[in-house]
Amino acid sequence: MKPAAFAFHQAQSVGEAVGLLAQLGGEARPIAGGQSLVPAMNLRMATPDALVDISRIPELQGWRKIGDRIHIGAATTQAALLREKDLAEHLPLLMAALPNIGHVQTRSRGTIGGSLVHADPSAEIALVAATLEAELVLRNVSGERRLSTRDFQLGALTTALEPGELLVEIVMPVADAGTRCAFRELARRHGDFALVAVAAQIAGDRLSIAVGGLEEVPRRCDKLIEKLKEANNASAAIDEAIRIELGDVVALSDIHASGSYRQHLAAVLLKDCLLEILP
Amino acid sequence: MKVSCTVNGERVEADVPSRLLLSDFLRHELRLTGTNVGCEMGVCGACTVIVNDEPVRSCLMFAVQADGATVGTIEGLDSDGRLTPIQRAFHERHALQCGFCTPGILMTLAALELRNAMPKTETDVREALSGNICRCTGYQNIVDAVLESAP
Repeated sequence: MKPAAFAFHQAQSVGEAVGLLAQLGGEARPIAGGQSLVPAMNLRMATPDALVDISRIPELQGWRKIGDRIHIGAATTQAALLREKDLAEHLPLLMAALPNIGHVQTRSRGTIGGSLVHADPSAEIALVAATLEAELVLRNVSGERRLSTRDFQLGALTTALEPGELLVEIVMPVADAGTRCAFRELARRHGDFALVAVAAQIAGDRLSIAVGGLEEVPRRCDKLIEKLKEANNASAAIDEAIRIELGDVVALSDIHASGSYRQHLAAVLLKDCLLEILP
Repeated sequence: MKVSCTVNGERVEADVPSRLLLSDFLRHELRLTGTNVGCEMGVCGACTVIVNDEPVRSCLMFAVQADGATVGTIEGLDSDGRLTPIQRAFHERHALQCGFCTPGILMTLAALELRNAMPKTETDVREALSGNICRCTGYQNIVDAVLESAP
């Protein structure tokens, strides 16, 4: 058998899941779709001594609109989200990004929350969450806390989640009518993690744009946004704004792409997205 | 741990270690060796089966997680021993050489068919099958076969 032995617990509620995680201690892991955790276990890079399955907990499934926010259960699969046609109206950027995540077989089980807690630097959902300034709801036996994506994703594969804590909900702002968005990524093969990805959205005159895959965590392009806001003619200022934004970046470099190539790609994809959505 | 599920229409009950992968449960316990195992890390797609009407990689799921589920494998694709239209198109178009990836590809397509989501254009076929790696055919004959069998 590929993975090391572990005890398996099927949780029926969030209360039961966080209770189990507290009781089992630091070497227990929650599992939802397992599309990142099980490969790591098969390679024995991860050897949890217990798994708490949260994939059947009704509270962690589906989405609802409360005021001007969409609340998504952390264990909702990517495939289930893609089937929600109404969600395209409320979260067009997320819906544009979803088909780029893995393949049809991994989206069947892979969840929105699983992608966020795995925190791959290139992950599409983490990029969208950073772009939209999503709020993440974490729960443990003693209560609940809410973190911005900035405070949640601390580095490559590293989050602020503490042992015994479970990501239960992702909260994203509803897109106003007339919101325009763009999502672009380049991967070596379709379905691979992106080398670099860009997500952008403009609602009224409020621009949000971020790059994934460039650094350990998605980079929100605040300097670029500032520069474009100052410019009389935003379209003419794009090149300069991108140059300023990427000026101090030390891009990730690995076997798939060098840092300078990633930096180049980021500039190209940022420009493509801006040209697509700027008025 | 006890697992009880339906595989190809038959009720199955077994007592398995929690770390047993669904792919190994199908192959070693149920002797359904049509589901092939390639990379065992979720990359190649050879082990694709249908769980509750969705295509999944059976190497990225534990057998205990299939408790209560309905599982379909290549052995159950057709019940009366005749090839399905897609299988026939694969045969006629020479869409396989060594055949190792074929069960996974057919199960992916069968799952899409269940949802009326069969790809209709070359681009869509290539995207739908992007999670199934074939090292023999160069994909062209696979794409042709899928397009030919599209209604």
